[in-house]
Amino acid sequence: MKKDILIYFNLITSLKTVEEVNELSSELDSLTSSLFKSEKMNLEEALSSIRENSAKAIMEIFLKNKLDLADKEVIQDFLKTLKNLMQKFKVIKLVLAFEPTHQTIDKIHNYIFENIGIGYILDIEVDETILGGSVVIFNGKYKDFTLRKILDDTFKEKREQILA
Amino acid sequence: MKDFKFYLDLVSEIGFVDKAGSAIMHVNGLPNVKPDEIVIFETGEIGMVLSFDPNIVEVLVFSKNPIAHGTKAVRTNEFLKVPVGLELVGKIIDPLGNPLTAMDSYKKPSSSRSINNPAAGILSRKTITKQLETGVPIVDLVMPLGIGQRELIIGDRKTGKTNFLMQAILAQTKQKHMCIYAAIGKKRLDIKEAEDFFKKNNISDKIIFVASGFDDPIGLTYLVPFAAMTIGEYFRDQGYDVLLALDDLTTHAKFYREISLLAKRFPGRNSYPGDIFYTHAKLLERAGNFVIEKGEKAITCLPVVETTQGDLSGYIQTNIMSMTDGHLYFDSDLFAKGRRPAINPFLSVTRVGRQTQSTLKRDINREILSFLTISEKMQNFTHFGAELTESTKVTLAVADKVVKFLDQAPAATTMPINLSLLLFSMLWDNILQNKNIQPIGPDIDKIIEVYNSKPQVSKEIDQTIENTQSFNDFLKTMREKGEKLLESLKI
Repeated sequence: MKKDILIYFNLITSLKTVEEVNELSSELDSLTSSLFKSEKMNLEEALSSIRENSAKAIMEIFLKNKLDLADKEVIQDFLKTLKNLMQKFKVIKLVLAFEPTHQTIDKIHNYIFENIGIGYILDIEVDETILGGSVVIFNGKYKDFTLRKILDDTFKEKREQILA
Repeated sequence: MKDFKFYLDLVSEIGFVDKAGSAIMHVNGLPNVKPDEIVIFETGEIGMVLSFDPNIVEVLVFSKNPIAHGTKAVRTNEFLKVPVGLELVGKIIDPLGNPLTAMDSYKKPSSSRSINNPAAGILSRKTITKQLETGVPIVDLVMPLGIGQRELIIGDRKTGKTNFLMQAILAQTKQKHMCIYAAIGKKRLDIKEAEDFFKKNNISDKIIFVASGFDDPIGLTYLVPFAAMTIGEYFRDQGYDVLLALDDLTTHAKFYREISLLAKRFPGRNSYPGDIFYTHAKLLERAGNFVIEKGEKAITCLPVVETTQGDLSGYIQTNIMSMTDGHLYFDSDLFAKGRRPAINPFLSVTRVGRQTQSTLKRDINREILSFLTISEKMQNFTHFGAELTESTKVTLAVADKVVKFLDQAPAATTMPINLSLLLFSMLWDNILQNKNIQPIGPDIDKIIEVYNSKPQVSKEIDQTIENTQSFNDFLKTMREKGEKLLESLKI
């Protein structure tokens, strides 16, 4: 299985946010438990217990790479490797002033993918008090690029000029 | 200290609580954190970095408020500091300088000092040459302490250790020394009792009381002796001689053990962490007699350690014995016999105290100790039920008088050293002369009051003692004018 690590590429790069990763992770858990509930249960049947999109993506990997849908050892190995890969994601936390649409999240994630690489997901928090811009938190570093901070600094620096 | 947002903007590093315990928070993030650095949580709680690895920072929190998982934390680039200044005098504070009781006039001092100062080197230290007056005759005459000495107060619980500290503090405030009492993890009632003692004796406005209760956060309790020592160092540098009472280090060790076990550090003997010796040694090493710009100034430290059933060989007990310049052992058997203070002179040690004594004081010291040794042997002999000779009976009767003289009710009386010397010599002379004048008994409080309030009487006594070279000379003087002096003290 190790040699085929690239088979996960499409699935991994399709995950963009912490919520998506958490959802897929719990789906993998339920998939594992339903698979081993009975001897006769195969992957196709078990996939019906999770979201259609996720089921489709997993099925695609199995078919494309000609993996045995009935071999439970192969399936278990697949699920385990996928979970391990998902735990290695690094989280970039963004504080935004608005609730981002899917397109916005895609755009941000694509930017990260192109400029930093694979293995990064977004944790988005909405805080309207920042007015605009964003706070970026990554690896314990905190960078405030918000409109609120710019205004605060301006008021601090040019208080007398503004009040005059 | 500024708020969370200020440090977030300043340092631009953030962490999130990953695991929350009762005293220790595991925080991820904060990539450039340093040992002992202060961390502030977004909810306002303050903590100190205990240890860290590349992923997790362990933070010891100084607050009882629960901190939720995911709470933001920021490092401050600052290390723990205690507010110091004259504003602290007469106040009861926690180790972070916050008032423990309602005090309208209290304003936190603006200057502060790092809590973990390294101990001063050998070049800035000086031999102890001055005697510390505790106001307790058995200590001042038999087990003398020096100014700058570290003397361990050891004994079972409820044997009068804290009472002795109170008397020593009372005597030292009269000498205009700066006294700091550190109550470590004490019951609220005990803290209140100490506070009442200071108030009753009108010294509450002259001492600094650093305290933490038994139910306070363990991080805060751990800091108490360090904060008290830091305050002591500040006042030493301001030109004061400082008396620091640490009550008690066994409790401190227990709290430190709790922190270490919570932090999953490997337990050592009695489950104490491996660095418990280092922790206490780095604290006590900060006391001593120093030469500073303002002259020779000292921090005299009286750490208290509790024993269990008189066992002096416990881990913490032996550790601290090896760090101090002697110990006063409070014997529970003597306490049960009614001796106050219940100090056992045979099991007590003072390593530097005797070098501070004059020839006269040393003579008296030797006389009392050798006599007490003889009488103790005889006392043991009587247990065999043998018929006593006349001389043994006399010795035991004299021993009874000497012990009575050295006894002192745990009330608020402190006996000046010169008065102790005078009264003891008088007692000794009377015994030798077979007279029936006894400078002991209920009049003693009055005698002390007269000595303290009449400068002409005290001056005469002090002068007499100063002019006397040896105990024999002093006894002669007492024979000539002892009765007259005693009369002047009874008016």
